[in-house]
Amino acid sequence: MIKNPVLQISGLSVALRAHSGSWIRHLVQGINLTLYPGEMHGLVGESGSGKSITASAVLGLLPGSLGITEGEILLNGKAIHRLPEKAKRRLRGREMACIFQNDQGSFAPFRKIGKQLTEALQAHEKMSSREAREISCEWLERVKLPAQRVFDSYPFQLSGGQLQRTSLAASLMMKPSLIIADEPTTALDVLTAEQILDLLSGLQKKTECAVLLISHDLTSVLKRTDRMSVMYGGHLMESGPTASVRRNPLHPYTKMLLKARPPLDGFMPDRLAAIPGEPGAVADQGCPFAPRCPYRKEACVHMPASGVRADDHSSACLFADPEGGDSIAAVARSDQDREVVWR
Amino acid sequence: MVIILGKRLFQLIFVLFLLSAATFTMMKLAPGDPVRSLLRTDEFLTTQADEAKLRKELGFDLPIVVQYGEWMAGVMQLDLGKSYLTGKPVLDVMASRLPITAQLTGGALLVMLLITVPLGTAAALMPGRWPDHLGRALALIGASVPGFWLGLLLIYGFSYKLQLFPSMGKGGFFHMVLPCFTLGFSLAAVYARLLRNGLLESLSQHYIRAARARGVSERVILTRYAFRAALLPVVTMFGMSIGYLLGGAVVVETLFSWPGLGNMVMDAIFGRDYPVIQGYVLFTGAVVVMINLIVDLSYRAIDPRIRFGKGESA
Amino acid sequence: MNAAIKKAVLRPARNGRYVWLSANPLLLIGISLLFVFMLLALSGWLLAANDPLAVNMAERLKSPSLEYPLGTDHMGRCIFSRLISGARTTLGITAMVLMTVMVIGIPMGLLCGYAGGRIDALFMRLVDGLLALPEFILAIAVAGFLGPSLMNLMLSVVLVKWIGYARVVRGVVMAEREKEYILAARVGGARTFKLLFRHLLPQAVSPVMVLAAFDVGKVILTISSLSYLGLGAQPPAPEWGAMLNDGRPYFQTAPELMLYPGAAIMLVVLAFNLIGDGLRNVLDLKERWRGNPG
Repeated sequence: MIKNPVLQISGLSVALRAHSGSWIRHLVQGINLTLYPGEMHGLVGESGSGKSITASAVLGLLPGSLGITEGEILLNGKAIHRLPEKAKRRLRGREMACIFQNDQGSFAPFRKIGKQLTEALQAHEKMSSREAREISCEWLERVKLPAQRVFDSYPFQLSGGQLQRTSLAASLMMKPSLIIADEPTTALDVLTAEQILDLLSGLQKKTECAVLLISHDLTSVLKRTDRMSVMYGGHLMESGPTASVRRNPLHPYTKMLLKARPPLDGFMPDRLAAIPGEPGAVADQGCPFAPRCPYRKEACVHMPASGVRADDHSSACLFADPEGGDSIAAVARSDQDREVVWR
Repeated sequence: MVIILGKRLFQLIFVLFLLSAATFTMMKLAPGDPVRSLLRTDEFLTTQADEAKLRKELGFDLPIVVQYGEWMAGVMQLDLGKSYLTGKPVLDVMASRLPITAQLTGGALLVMLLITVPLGTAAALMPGRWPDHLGRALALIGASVPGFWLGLLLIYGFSYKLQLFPSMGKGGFFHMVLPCFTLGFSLAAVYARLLRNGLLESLSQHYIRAARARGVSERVILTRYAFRAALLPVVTMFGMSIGYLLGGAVVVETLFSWPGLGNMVMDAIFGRDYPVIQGYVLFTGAVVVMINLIVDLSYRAIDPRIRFGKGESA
Repeated sequence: MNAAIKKAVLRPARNGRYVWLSANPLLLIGISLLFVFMLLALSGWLLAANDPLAVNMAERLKSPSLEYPLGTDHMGRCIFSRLISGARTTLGITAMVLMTVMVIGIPMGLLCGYAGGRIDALFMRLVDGLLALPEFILAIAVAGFLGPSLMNLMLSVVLVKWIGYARVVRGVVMAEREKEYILAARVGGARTFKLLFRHLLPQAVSPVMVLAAFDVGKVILTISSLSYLGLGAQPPAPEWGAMLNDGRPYFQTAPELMLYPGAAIMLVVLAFNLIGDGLRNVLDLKERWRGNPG
């Protein structure tokens, strides 16, 4: 059975607007992403790589100074990037929901959790306060919280983990088809983070929604997602099934990211491999990673970064080769060569 | 909760004690002899005997501490003494004037709200556009214009030239327009700015974005989230503005011949009617402390973090 | 050695001051406005050739002429001369009041913040009590009991205003006194006096400056308002508020009698508010002292 994609982003570009109204600088360029129901898609990248801007663009919550210049976003087959604000609002919460990184920031500190939950429900559907309360409590229970107590609590009376569970409940309770989890565990300790992600995966299986997990924690993305994409400098570097990306990274940046990660098993090396250089600015021309790339060629600086595309697993590198061909391998084979470049 | 209330109550008593002691001392230090001035105003030939009799009647022959004690005992029973000029009990005089002043200050607060809320909101929703600039200019003017001068200009323009509103005394709605606007304008200008800053700050908070992501409507976000958060600085400032409001009322009442407490106290000052002045000062002090108590309490209603002892305390 | 350190410390400050002015149009406007007023007030005896108190009933309510640049008032006095001399009165009184206030408030703040404990507790009680009494009301009480006069008015303003300075300085001292450099100075054997005035006081300079800039405006407004009510400067003294009061009966026939002094008050207060705003932006202080009228 072929399912229709929940979210289809094609050629999405987001740019910064000047006071005069002209576009100054691209922050995100040419993003393609497709999410199917029940799928968890990981989006990794350094801070400032454009992950969160992509998420905001989907939600229609880009700050006033940013705007979509190109491309389209389809949610369940409907184009949503050009919808008026009111129509977008009706989609938010109901069709697509978001879990944010900052656990304290998801709920206003001076209003009770219950009020904020029922308010969101009632914003979308006409229902009595009692009904709204019942639904909210039901979902608070599903995320394994003492529902009544949390319902009547203020956000500051809950722990970070409890709050993140609450926002999980808040995002799931209207059974949206898409959930964007924007670094949902960054502010939490490791154990709590694992519990939250377990809950998310569990509930996702039940509701069959698609999840876009944005994270800079490569480990949990590798462990939990079905597919993953890697962003750098506003561009998509690589995209494919998680297992395939892990086993056979195509893009030099992905390769280096995977190397920079402490191994899941075995011994901790004395030093983790670091990616040299500073995270780059968004390049309008050429590959954004080129300045830091050890395999850089002349063409990388000038040619637009749109490289090899295999059916399922694609990379933006001009020289990437799924078959393990010569270009990168040739450079990578020479360890001394790398040493030189890295220094 | 109880502790805060108790602390405020203690402050109330302490302040009233301080005020009473201060006004009593000042009254005794005051130049001139009230007995003589009293007798002089009666336009009768006075004798030593008359003077001694009045002195005794007013209790001025007793030692000062006893006088204070007796006076204080009276104050406790809400007996503020009698006006030197009219002989009426001070409390009665004040009670008859209070509603008139309350009407003026209430109207001024209404004017303030009518200007502050739309202007502050518009400025916050359109930062850098014309409502914002208007708000900025008004705030600067509002903090710089002398209230009595604004009142005079209004009288000249609207009452004398255009003959739209009456400039004197108390009457119906039309009598209230100019005095209330005069008193409310400076507050409105400053508070509009305060509201604008508060709204801008709260609108940039993450929880607003989260609420938007849940699909909550902009109207609900503005009224139940942003306004609520912006209320804190506004309410805090209000506790400080109450003094301005009461002082401004004196000026405005004089300017527009508004027969309230302010007019009463001005008459009392020029007539050396010490008990009335004293009553006014005590009453005003009590009002200021009470308003601050209310501000404290509403603070706790607005921000539950204070109620539960988290975050910063009032 | 010492000179070198001084130079190194001072240069960025000077440089910074230069940057301030150009970066803050508001501050610049405020200062220029004030400068014009200062010039007018100081050169009063040159520009204002007429005696501000000289009554000349034959020349009453004259329109502007070469002799009387802004005309004459209801008693034939030169309005311009009176305005100029009023500027000196108003600015002089305000400066005196603020100086007194600082002389009382700053050492009190230093003392309470540094000593802490019982002295501080007592101080806070007193402040609570005095804060309940708005200065305007206190001024009315003082005028009422001790008689209306400029001196009494100044007294009541000082009685209330010193608290603000004491509180600001106290706050700064309490925040700074546990910091390392103070401990280091103390370990180094610095005397308390030196610690207070050399190390702690400079930290309070910017908040005090901003507070003072806003207070100038407030004090001018208070003094002129109360003078207008007849509780401050007494006629025929050329104080702006008193002038307004003086001209009030004639304001229908001669609105300029109230126009000029009021505009003068507003412009001077505006200048100081602009300076306060600019200083606060430059010194990057929070909006804590945002103009609360009165």
